[in-house]
Amino acid sequence: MAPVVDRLKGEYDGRVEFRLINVDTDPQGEQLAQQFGAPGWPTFVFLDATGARVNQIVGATPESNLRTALDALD
Amino acid sequence: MSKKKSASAKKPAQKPAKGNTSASRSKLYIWIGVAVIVVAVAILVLRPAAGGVDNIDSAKVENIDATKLEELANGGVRVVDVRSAGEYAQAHVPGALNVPYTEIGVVAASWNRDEPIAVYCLTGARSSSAVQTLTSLGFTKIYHFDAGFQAWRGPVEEGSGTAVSEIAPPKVSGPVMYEFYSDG
Repeated sequence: MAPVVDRLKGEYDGRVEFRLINVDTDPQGEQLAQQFGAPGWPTFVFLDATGARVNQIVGATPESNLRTALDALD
Repeated sequence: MSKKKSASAKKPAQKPAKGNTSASRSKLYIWIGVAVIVVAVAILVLRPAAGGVDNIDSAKVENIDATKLEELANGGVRVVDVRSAGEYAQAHVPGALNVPYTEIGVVAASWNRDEPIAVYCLTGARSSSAVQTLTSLGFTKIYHFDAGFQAWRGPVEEGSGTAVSEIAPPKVSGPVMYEFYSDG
């Protein structure tokens, strides 16, 4: 998913903040993932401008699904 | 006279016959009425078992007791505590994940609907709401510990290590997309 996410990160720069967390290397990563209820990797969690979780996608997913979720944050 | 006599003689002979017919018909109508009522009641009682939506839902949802919940938890079934993060932190079923029932629709939307899931709250009220949400999401097997945590006599865990807090939003200054990934 890395190339897709990197591309989207560039496209949505300034509109959506991307926080990419490697649960293998980030000591807080897995705990944070559990707090979001992420059952596996990758998991994408979408927060609106108030910090409220509005969507979550688990597993590799088509770019179009990510775009739809990102567009819904605007 | 003979005609009159014979006519008057026939009448009494016919009356009982008419009376019998009428009585028979009345009985028939009563039996038909009873049969209709029985059939109607049978339809009402058996309709869910005939494959209606209610039946599908009841097939998906199974009310369980504490023993069964412990068995499921030990067997690796996802157990979800739908109480608040505060209640969860005080004590919860070991291994349970905390997703407050108000958030279950968003969080569980990305879970595998074909994997069994067990839910509970304190008394069964909030978990009933969660069960409805999970059912509408299409989960195929939902175990409902309807007696709630108040009836739990097994071991408990404390703390919020695995809690999904009340949207524990890290500080944000705008929309955020998290990606949790692994190199493995």
